[in-house]
Amino acid sequence: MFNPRTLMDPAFAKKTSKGGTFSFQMDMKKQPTAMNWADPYRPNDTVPPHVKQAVIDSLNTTAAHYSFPTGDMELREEIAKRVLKLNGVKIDPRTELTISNGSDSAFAYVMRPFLVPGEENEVLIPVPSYAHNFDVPPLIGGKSVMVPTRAENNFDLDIEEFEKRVTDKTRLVVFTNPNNPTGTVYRRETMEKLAEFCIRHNLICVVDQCFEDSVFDEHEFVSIMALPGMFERTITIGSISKGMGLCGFRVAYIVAPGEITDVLHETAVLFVGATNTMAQAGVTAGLRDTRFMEELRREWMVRAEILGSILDSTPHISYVKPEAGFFFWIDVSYYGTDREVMQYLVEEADVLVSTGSGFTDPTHIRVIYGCLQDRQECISAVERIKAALERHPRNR
Amino acid sequence: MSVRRLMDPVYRDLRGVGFDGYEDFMKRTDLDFFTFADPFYPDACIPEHIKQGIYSSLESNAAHYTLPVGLDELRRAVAERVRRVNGIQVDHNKNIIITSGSDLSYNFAMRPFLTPGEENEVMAPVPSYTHNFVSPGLMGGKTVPVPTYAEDGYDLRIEEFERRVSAKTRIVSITNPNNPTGTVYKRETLERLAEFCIRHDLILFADQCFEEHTFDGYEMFNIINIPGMWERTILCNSFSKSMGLCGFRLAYLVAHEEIMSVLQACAVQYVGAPSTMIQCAGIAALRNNAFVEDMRREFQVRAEAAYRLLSDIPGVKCTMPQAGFYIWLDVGELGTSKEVCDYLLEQARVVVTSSDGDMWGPGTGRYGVRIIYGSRRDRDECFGVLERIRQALLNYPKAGS
Repeated sequence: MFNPRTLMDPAFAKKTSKGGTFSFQMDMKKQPTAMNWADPYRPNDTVPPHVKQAVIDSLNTTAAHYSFPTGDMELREEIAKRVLKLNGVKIDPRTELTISNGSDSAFAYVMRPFLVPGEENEVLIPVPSYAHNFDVPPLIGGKSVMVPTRAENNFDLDIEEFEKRVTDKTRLVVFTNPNNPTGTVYRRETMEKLAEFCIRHNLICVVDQCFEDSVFDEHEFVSIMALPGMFERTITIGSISKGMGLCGFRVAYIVAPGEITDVLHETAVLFVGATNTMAQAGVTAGLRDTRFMEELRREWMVRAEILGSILDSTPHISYVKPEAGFFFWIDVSYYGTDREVMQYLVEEADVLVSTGSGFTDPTHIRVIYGCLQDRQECISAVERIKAALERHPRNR
Repeated sequence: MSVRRLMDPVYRDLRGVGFDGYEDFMKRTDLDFFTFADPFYPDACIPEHIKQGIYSSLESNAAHYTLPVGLDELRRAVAERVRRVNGIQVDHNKNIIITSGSDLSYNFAMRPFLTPGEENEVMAPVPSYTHNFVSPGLMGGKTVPVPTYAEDGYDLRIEEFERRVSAKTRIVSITNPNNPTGTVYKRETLERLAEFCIRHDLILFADQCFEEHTFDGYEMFNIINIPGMWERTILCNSFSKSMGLCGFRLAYLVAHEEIMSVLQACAVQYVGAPSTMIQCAGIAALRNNAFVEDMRREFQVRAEAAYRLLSDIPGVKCTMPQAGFYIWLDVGELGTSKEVCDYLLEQARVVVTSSDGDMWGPGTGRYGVRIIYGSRRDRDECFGVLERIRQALLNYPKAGS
């Protein structure tokens, strides 16, 4: 009997779609409140009017046709302005920017040039972090080396732990800032230490900044590419999905120095194809009037405050206060494994949360409070979580 | 420091210079672009019911992610299309994945079968779609080009595959109907190719994006139907070509459950989810797809005209397209592909597809030119441009003149 897995790269041969969270969701008859997708205001209809109009206008003009594989120039110009404002870095939209079809595909795209097939080059990744950071390298011939971070240290990066793990095969450092799932906004001092580490070991730094629009008031956001010596070796993945609440559009961008962008442009058509034309038109309009983005950020701050109080009075859980929106990373180990707690909350609280294993830590769950446009509905969902845990068998 | 020194050698020398300034070039209104395989470029042409799909989505789910494998309703509609067009029953959950375009689907489908460090081989006919000659190398694999011949109408010669198969061969990649030659591979050819794939235990990647534009008198035979092929074939199709929705970025892959399970498992990490509103438009398009046949008839009329206009020019050899919306010329007697295309730009004010850099496979740069007769919504405008091309080629300066 023919088995195609025998013809596959072992990194792929072991993968199966059976039993994953997605298949779990596909199997569910009744849909609980989804607090597992980092997708603002899911499932409500929330595309801003000016963005909708731009998409509609595009339908009547260019939407049917390919846009440039590396992205529409008008959009790139708006993004360059955004990068200057948000990250303090002036870039040339022609030679230092690429548009991609969502940040998910950007990881393989930007890491691939630096991982030589057969050499098992290494990628240093602080964890817990977004799964792509460590799931992608093995799919492109690399090897993921996890670097621990600790709740006691507010999940800050400990450069000593990086030093312990660097080898002559290390090529990349990949991290997320603000971090998903911990909500950490890395301090300037941490970024400076990481920068010094990357420079000293001649590494490429890949940073996913897709939550940068949701940084809470009290925190300074530092883009590592802005630090001395870093622009030439940093690839920054930016996205509008989270900040604009337009996850379904699939538009992201990559900032990288000319030499790297040159290579990315030449290979865009293979990893990206092109980004859909009408969505680019919508995002361009969105970037020209960003008030709705600031409203989202403020909403996350309000919710974080209110929901934090509810969690503070929930027995036997702990969490580090998030510094950016829109999720909580909660230690639930008292109640069982992440999967057990996730199932319990589906049954008893009618909410679906993310298991921590996907981020490397089965003692935690991630709860997205960015769902549901109606704040009260979201608060009620978290109250149901609290009530369910209060009556958990372990508390009787 | 040069960051290129940190790169895989295969990437190190890549330059995006092909794109430098190209965007400005594309905006020129003094030129006609008959070079993008993008129906009716640059004119507006989206059917109203497809626009409705977008409008409805904008009022409901457009802001939000779908499952990385695609909306349930779209996968069901695709399963129905696959049954209708390709003659196979597939399960919309187990055998289908929705992607953001066929370009990245080449990479996605082939990648699991190319083990880093082993230089596994992908066999592809020459001429055929440019990805076949670039993609495998960038994934740590290697393309093995297999010649085809004008006198066969560029049909496949299986003995040429036999000569080149090795222990490292993993994949055979075909585009059927073929881009750029417009060839629809014969049933007998595909039966022999199937036997070859089975005997050598290979995976077949079949990009059938142009299948619904097969012209009258030609049979679009589905190799996936041959016993022994279902379990080893990955079928790719797209909404771009047959539906004229290139800017939407919507495609899908069909495969046996064992292969599809792997692709679904790594979809979100490797290619990400497709756009939501686009998927809704895709559902609308599949439910009401009579316009596809209208496009096919239109392109058939244009194919005949293009062939008539271009087949009696001294120094130019031409293949009658059997499908699609492009025509393949051999201009080797006049000059290289680049020389002739530059000339057409100057004299006819038309941009056609040069094979410079052997983009359709080794040797094609010497002689091959692809002209898209699917450009422009208005047929007469299209013919006017083809006339200009004809006139220019008739006046091509002869060597020594």
